Amino acid sequence: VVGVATTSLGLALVIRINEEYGTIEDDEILKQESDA
Amino acid sequence: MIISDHLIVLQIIIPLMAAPFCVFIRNPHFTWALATFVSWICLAISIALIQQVMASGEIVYELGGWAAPWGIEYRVDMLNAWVLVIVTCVGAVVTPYAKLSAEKEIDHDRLYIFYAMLLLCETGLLGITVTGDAFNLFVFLEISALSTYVLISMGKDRRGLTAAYRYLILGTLGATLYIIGVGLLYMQTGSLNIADLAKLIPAVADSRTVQAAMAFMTVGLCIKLALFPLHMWLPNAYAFAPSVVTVFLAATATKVGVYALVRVIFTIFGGVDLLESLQIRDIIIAMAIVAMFAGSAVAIYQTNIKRMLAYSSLAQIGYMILGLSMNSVMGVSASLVHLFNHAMTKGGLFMVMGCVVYRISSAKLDDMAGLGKQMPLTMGAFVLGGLSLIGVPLTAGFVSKWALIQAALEKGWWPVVALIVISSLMAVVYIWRVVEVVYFKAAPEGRTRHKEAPLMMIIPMLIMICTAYYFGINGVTTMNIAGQAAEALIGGLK
Repeated sequence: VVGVATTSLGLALVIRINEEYGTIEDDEILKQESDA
Repeated sequence: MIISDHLIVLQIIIPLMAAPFCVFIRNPHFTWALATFVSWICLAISIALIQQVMASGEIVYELGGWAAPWGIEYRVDMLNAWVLVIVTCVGAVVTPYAKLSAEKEIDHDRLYIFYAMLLLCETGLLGITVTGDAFNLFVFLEISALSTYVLISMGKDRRGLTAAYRYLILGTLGATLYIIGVGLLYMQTGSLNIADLAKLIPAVADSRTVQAAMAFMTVGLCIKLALFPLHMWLPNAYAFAPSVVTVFLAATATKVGVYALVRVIFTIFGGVDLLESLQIRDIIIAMAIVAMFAGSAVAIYQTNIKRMLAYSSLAQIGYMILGLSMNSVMGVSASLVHLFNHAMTKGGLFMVMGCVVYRISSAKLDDMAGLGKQMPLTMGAFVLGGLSLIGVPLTAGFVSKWALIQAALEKGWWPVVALIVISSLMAVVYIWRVVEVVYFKAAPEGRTRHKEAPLMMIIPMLIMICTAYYFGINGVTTMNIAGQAAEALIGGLK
């Protein structure tokens, strides 16, 4: 149960990250953050 | 009275039931009122519990009437009761403060989720504290962790999302390591009940399985409480979460992590003192001292003040762990009293930052120039809180650092005493940097004049700071409670 909850929350966060950053590539996100 | 018999379980059930109610109600004002009401009830219950414990000793509650070790039991002694009071105190002050701060920093249509998650997080933290069952502790750990990830990601700053994701990965790793440890212990002893484990472990302490279990549980919990070098998730999570979330987490989550570690080391493994026999203690002392210095040193170079305070928290966690690793009544009671004192001090300081963000929408040091004149109460509170963080006499920070130094002297660890003093002086540097910019640097030309933060945020903030001073001047009550809790723990060791 905990595993399913964590995975779903993690995936939900990935979707939100994709909405905000337009990518889910770690290096691109880091680049956008360091530029900001 | 029938209710007083069930106070322990009500402590958990009330916030747990209130959370889904928040989702049903949806109206942000009603959910806020409900959350505040519930957090006050929780505080009242925890105060009643600590009085009960003081009067008649440990309280044991069997859930559903199933006798331990088969059923789950809740068990509250001085230590649990103390941590319950810390968590509920912070909760009761933070929820009134949350209203305006959350309206400013969280999307309006998600406010009800915010309050539901805040209540769930409090449920999880209280659950970790009251439970007498090692597996049940893991369940509550996950309840608080999952709600924390949501809370961190709710802010308007998108970096909160990546911070939450990073915390999710590391937090899950920590919880998994902990549960592997619990699994190993179950394999070896056939029990999950903490008190029962404490009795069964000495017989099997020589086995590699138990030693591995100890290692897994310690490392897992150290990730949760962000002991250096396992702290990577903490600074960004605190810096980019909505301010009120940071206040709540900084003042409670790591404290409960420390509590869980204390339980594992001094109760579950209390009979065998594996830290000493496996010589892990030296490693922990070294990590604690590095945390004290690395945390303070990095804090000095931060430009975002929320981030600076987050790094300072890492240093403070170092002090707490240092006290524990001394393995003496004095050392452990210094740690336990620091749990409370730091919760009040750091909670107050993050509340100041919440007020600043409310007015100027930024936590950057440069943007705070000249705020000393424009927001005198808020910035005055920052100075007072800063003094307590440094450990100036008459503040709560002083009481705990003094206790820690005395504990180190008792052991004859002179170098450690020097290190404690030096690292405290580093706090002067980062607090002074803020004071200098806020009071001695003129506000930039053309910037709108900022008003003082609203009273509804000022009052909780001042309550927090005043508490830190009250228990700095009158440290006897807190030291007594921490001392009794420490004696019970170390007594179990002998």
